[in-house]
Amino acid sequence: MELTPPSPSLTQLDDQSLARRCAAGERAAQQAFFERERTQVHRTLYRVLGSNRNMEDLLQETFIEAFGSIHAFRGDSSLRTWIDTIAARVVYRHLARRALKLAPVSCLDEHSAPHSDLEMQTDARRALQQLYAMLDRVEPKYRIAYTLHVVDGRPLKEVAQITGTSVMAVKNRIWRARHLVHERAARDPLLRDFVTAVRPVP
Amino acid sequence: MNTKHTKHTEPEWPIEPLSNAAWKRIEQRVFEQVSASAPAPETTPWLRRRFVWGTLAACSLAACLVLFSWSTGAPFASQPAAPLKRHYAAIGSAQQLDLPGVTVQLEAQSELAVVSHGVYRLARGAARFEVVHRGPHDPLAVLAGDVRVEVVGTVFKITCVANTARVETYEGTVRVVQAGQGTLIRAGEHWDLVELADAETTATDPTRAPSPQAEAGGTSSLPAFHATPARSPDLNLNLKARVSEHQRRRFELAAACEKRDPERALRIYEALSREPGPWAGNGLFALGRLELEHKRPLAAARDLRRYLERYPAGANAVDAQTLLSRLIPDGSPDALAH
Repeated sequence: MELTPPSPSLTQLDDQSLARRCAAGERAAQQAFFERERTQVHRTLYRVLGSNRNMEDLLQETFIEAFGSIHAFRGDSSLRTWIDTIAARVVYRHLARRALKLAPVSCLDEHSAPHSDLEMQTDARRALQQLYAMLDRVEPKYRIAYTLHVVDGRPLKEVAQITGTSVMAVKNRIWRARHLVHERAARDPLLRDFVTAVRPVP
Repeated sequence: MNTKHTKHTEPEWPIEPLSNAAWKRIEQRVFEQVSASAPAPETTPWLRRRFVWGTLAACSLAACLVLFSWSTGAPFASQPAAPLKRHYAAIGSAQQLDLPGVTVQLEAQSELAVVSHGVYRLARGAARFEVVHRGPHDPLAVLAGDVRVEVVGTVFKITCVANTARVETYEGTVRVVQAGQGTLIRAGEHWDLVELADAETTATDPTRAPSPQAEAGGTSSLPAFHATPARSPDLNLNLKARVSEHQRRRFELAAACEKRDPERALRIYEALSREPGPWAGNGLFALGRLELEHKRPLAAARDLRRYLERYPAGANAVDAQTLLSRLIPDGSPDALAH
């Protein structure tokens, strides 16, 4: 199947128009939507999972679900938040289906970009790996809220929109996940340094 | 927990990028799937409107039919497709019958006949009826002997064994008509018609009260009950045992609430004393004793005297005599009146 890059005019369309044209089955609009949102969706999924393992399947599932329900997009939020909501749902199902095992470092390196400070990157990666290994024991909904807010730094309101809950519920989920993480980090020096690097704003 | 948004003190943790080849694969698979599941041509607006209006009309019609069936008490929706039988018999084990407007649990050794639409006759045995709500002018009727039970929507059980009948109401109210007299039996209440002459039971149970028939000088104030005689004597004994058990419970309840609620206890004792059954004598004596304890000498004397007349050799006869002698020291009722 030969795919052509979307025309510049399509990439500048507002959310409502783009969604309408995607819903009408216009292939060029669908490609423009895919090109525009794919990085964001990948970011969301990556933050929750901590690796690119199963990423292709999850991205595929997210976009297929998005194209299947784009006719229902009402413009209450941005198209980006809307597709993040779908990505959160997809990754939740994935996490709930089976306990994820994080990929080893060698796997993570498969598609990685070159790093300037190799030692720092290795430490950070090991800490992240341990963090996600710990998050494997956390309920998926707590994990999603925690990773999107604490790891990816998204505002609570946005996390609430993505996960389809209230801000209070998101706070509660983050608190529970953070409690477990800090409990575990107290016994692990590498992780302790990593976790304490995330400090609350006064 | 601090609910403020957090910031990271170190640079954002990098995201491992996907290769271009991976993105190509994803894109290709996504669009293959989207093409394969392309939506059907959209229905034209007028067709959609027609569909919506058609659905609404169908729903309204269905609602009207349900309301009509409910108000007329003819739930055609629950009509069985099979033709209605005229006679049902549960010989070996209990049966459940789904009849128009009523579900019947026909106990073993019981027979039920369909007289006409909404009228059933329990020939023998016991059956529990769960009647769906009917219009007030179209009650369901169950006949047992010359007893007619009318309901408009309730759960009740009727037992018809030998020359006895019992109507127990579990939900709602039923109207029992017998000898031209109607009685309303509410949920939790029951109505009994017990055949009076039972020589065997009377001989073995000294506390059993003589029947109202005997009390009235041998002529029955109750009309004869023409039910089909039971073929199983066990059912007859079972009914009597249940009546006795029920009376015993009521007697114990009254005894328990004598101090707390003496008026209630008096009412129960009085009711027991009027009923035929083995606990009538105990009820009558307890009634007299409690009336005496609550400074009602006239009523106490009357009831104790009735007890002695009915049960001269009863278990409480000596006590009744003692209490009566305290009330009337010189043996003259006139003395008590003053």
